[in-house]
Amino acid sequence: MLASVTAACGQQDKVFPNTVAPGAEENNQVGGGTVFGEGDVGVVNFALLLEYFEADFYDALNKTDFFSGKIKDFLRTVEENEREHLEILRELSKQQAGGTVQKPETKFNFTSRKQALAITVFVENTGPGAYLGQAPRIQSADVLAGALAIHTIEARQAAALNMMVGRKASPDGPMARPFTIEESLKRTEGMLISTPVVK
Amino acid sequence: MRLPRARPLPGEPPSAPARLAGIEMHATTRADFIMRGVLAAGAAYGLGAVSPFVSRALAQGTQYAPPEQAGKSDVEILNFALTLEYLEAEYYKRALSAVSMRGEVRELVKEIYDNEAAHIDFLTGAIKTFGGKPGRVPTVTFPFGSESAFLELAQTFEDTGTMAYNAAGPLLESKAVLNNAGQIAQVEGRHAGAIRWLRGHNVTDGALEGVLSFQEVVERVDPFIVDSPRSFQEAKPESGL
Repeated sequence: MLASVTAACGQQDKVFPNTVAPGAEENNQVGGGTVFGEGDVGVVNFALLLEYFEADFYDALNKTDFFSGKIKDFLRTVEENEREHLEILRELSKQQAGGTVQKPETKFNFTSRKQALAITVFVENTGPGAYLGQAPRIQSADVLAGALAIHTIEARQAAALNMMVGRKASPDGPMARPFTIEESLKRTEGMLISTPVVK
Repeated sequence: MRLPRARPLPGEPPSAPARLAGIEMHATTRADFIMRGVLAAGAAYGLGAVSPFVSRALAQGTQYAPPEQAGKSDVEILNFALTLEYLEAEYYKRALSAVSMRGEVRELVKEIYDNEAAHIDFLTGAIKTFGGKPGRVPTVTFPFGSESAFLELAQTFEDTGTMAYNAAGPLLESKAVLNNAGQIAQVEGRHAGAIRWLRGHNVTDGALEGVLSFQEVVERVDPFIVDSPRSFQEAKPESGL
């Protein structure tokens, strides 16, 4: 595997495993249209939608009584982090001329501790991939710095959850896998129930 | 064992004047209208008018490119990262025989070692692709003792690596390299989160990852490197750079 990693280094723009072509515009296409807006506006709106979703998710999760002790404390901290990400992105989005993505409708159905934890692991492993997929599209250095700062917080949270269920910290190996917008949204299916609206 | 703490850990916003000075410096190099817009609201109505979340984000946004690291080429940045990866890989490799660990810790350490070894191969290849010369393997030294002491230093290394990659991100010229650096940064962040969880420590220190300058990275890891490579010596405070 390592040999293929290094062998792939022959061409600068086609680098390494698990990558999407940087700047590929299909990255930003949902259902054939540019739903979230062009350029950084689109990135910020997509990230904002994701944070709305995550904040709702942890709000619902933390209303259940499936968890206690260390895990309960951890999940509350994650909710606080997600709310903070939400506030930052909402402020950023409001400053943009291209419109702001509206709060989506969500639906969660937690039936047992085991099921709830499994869904949480899945959801939390979506965030890092989603941010990573957007990073090379970002034009503004400040927006990039902000996205990167959120990206590894999501990664830390995902790995801690992976530990709780006996998964690897980094299930995709040494090079984390970026998700396109399409892939990210697919992972929210059945939970994020409205289509994104920007206005 | 304890590392000398160079300065307050990231997350503590600098004073308002420092923050504004940082922005001033930036305005001459980059046009960042969105964040600047948020800042303008703060400047007009006072920083207190900006939500504390946003001012923290701003504080971090202004920190990512201290003057001494602006102007480094992608190859120089990758070589700096390579030294860190060599240090990490060797730490875990030695620990696997030197430290008595619980089963789940050992599993994680094996995973982390494999990842760091792959990062070395990746960075070496990338540096050559860009026509650079990969830095040599540094000679390192670690104090090994209990599992708990081992994990404490592992956390320091992983936190440092995560923040170093995050700081480097916006400095990279090539979007392809940025993509790959982001992939590695995420994996370092995952290591840090997993180690912290197994230690019973907070998984995050706040909602935003901090960043470290090259100099701060060197201050944290140099005690474990016997023969610092040139990129590290140049980043030391006494070098006057």
